[in-house]
Amino acid sequence: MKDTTSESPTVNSAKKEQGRLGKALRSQGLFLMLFLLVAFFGSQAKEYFLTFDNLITILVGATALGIMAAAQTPLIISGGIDVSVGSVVALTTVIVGKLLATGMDSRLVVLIALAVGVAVGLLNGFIVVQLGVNPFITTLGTMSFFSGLAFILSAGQTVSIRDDLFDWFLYTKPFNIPILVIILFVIMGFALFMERKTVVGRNIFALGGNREAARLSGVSIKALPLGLYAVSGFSAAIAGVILVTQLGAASPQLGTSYLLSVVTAVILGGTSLAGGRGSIVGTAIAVGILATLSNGFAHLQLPSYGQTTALGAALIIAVLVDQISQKSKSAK
Amino acid sequence: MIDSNRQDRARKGPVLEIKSVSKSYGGVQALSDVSISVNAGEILCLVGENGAGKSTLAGIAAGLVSKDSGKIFIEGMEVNISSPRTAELAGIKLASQELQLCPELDVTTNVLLGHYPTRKLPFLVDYAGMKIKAAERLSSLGLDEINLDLKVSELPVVYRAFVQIARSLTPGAKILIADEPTAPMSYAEASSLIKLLRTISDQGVGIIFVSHRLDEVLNIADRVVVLRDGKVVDEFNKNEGSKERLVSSMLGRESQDLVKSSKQKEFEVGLAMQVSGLCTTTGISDLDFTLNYGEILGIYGIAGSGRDYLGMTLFGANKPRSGDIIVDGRKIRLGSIKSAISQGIGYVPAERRTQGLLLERSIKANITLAYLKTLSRLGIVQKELEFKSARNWVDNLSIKTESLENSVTSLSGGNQQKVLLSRWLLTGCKILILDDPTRGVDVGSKMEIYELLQQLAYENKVAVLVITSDIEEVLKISDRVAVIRKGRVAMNKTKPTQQEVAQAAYLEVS
Repeated sequence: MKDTTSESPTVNSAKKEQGRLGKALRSQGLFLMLFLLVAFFGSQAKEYFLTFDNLITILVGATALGIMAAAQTPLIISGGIDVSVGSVVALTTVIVGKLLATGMDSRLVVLIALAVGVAVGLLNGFIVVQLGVNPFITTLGTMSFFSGLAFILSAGQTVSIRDDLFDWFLYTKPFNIPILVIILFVIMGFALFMERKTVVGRNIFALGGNREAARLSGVSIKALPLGLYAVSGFSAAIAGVILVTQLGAASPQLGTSYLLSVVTAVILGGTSLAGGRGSIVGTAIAVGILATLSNGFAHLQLPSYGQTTALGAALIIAVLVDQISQKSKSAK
Repeated sequence: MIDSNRQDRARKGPVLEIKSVSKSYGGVQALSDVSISVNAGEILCLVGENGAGKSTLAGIAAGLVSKDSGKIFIEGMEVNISSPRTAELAGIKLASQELQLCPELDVTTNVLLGHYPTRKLPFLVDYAGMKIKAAERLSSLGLDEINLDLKVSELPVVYRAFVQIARSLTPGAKILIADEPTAPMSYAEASSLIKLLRTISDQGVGIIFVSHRLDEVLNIADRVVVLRDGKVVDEFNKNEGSKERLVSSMLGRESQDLVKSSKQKEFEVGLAMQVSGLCTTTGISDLDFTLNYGEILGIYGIAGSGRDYLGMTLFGANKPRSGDIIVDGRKIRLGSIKSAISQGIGYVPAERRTQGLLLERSIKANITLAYLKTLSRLGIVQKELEFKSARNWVDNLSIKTESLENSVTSLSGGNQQKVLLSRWLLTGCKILILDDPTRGVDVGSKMEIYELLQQLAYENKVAVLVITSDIEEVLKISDRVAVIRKGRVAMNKTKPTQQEVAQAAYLEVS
């Protein structure tokens, strides 16, 4: 007995390294994509693109998307999906605008906005988990519902917003790094910790991989998804507040660009829409790719629709490569 | 159809000859220099443990697997089989293990799927003609009782398998490959399927039949070929074989009967679980039985007897309509898995892949799934502790793997089953419920699982409940057997005979 325990961990750690290497190779494909993008944009606009300031600009531009993608990743791994986040962003910005106009304290306004995010997430979760409606259809429905609600509340108007609290968020830069970027990294780090180290993370993979097996092993198949939808709504509310600070405006049209880019980032990062497989690291790199694309296109003054074309192609290529590597793995 | 030519065909020699076929996957030699032949109207059974090469061989003949070397002849002519399509054109038809039907379409369409008769214009389907053709096909197989207008989803499972076979038998069929068609069936269902295969072979079609059930094999086969480690190790005609010979050539050693440990009778009579008045919507009505610590209780019943959902119900995965389940003198909450687990009940489901395993995950993650909370502190999984716990059971149950981090799909069926057992042994459960624990498991692993269950019951004093549709299994392993018929216990006896069990289970039917 002693013999096996003293010997096997070394054998195992060698194998584990191999497994990690395989995973790393897949994310290296994404890294390569990111690297090529940076190299291309760098060669085209060296003096502007490859600077620390521009790196910060890219990261600041990625905060809203990154935070929502960090919440969407575990949701999709668990076998769910939330396409309503864009509308929740719009709804929360409108609510922030409305409440600030009444003269309410801005800290309270932010809290209310975040609570609204959690509430709409719980609504999504309730419909999916308790009523048993397909997640995609549920959130497609609520996407339209919340978007309409945002237009009704705002009467379609864009209002500009100035507030000290928001300015503080925007201009505070400990160590020259904007606080928004720090928030992004903290949230990503927390998501990674949850994925890798915790029981909840493991149960999310179990749930998405084989729901019945998870259920028969005592994994909660209701509370867990409900929580994930709430977190997704919460992340959209955070993104909404961040957008208000960044743009200094609230509008029911704000979230539309996030309708699909959140899901796109997660899928590009290697998470399987079927559930059970995926990673925060992949999502983080994918968010980096998306943000670099939009920043680079802006520097080169290329039309933004070229950007969406490139993104679409990249998505299909990335998923194709992933499928081929999965197939060759299962053939062995 | 081909009956009249049958003798001519036999004179011409075998319909299908596979000569010196080899195949390797990576470094593993799945088949090496295997030759078999099938005559017209003959049923050839392929037997072997999991990984012996049966499915690879059947796959090569059906064009699903490409061979590394070797030749295939149909009626003496060499054919190049490179895809399922070329195999079909050559007259080799496959009725695959999983049903490949469109459940929402009617029987007519399913029987003719992809081969519709057309009217003058090639894209107009002649539905009336289809019905006639489908009816002819079914009645030639003696299956007139199947209603052509029903959706396949409305048919009983056996009929679906019949439709699948009828569909595979397109015109020009010379060889039918049936790869474990009886695996998901009860014995009664399987025997009606075997009758159908007989009918087909009587019409001159050669059949390659793959099965794990040795009784079935001895019953149906004209000839048996035994594979082991990718080689043909034994081949005999119907009357030369016996079960002992089959098992010993499959395993490569003399078959060992289960050594019943002498401890078995001295189990402490401690009541573990008492079930009374259990009624469900799934066919259990007023069921009573008791289960003691340190014994193995076998529950046997045919399909539809109420056996199917019993395990799930006891484990809280299905909510019963009424009744009591008392564990250690306390009623447990019905329909709550968490309550069952907290009372020390573990459950190994019948469908390993769909109900048990996380196919994307490692062996370790599969073993520790139900015990993560205990292996964690403040919600954080303790890596070392998790690794050691999993390692411990992998060693104890001698699960054959190089690393705990390997995917669970890299294991054979028997070892996968041991992973599921480890999942519950790790939790230290006192009551273990198993549904069909050795379905699709090779003979060697079967023995290991039986021995393991005995060790659990007799040494660790676990209360073991085995629910099974395999009459031999229930006789072999149980200290006490309860037979379910029509949702009630029809017999409850220590060490009954096969006769007694069968009578209790079938009495009303025959």
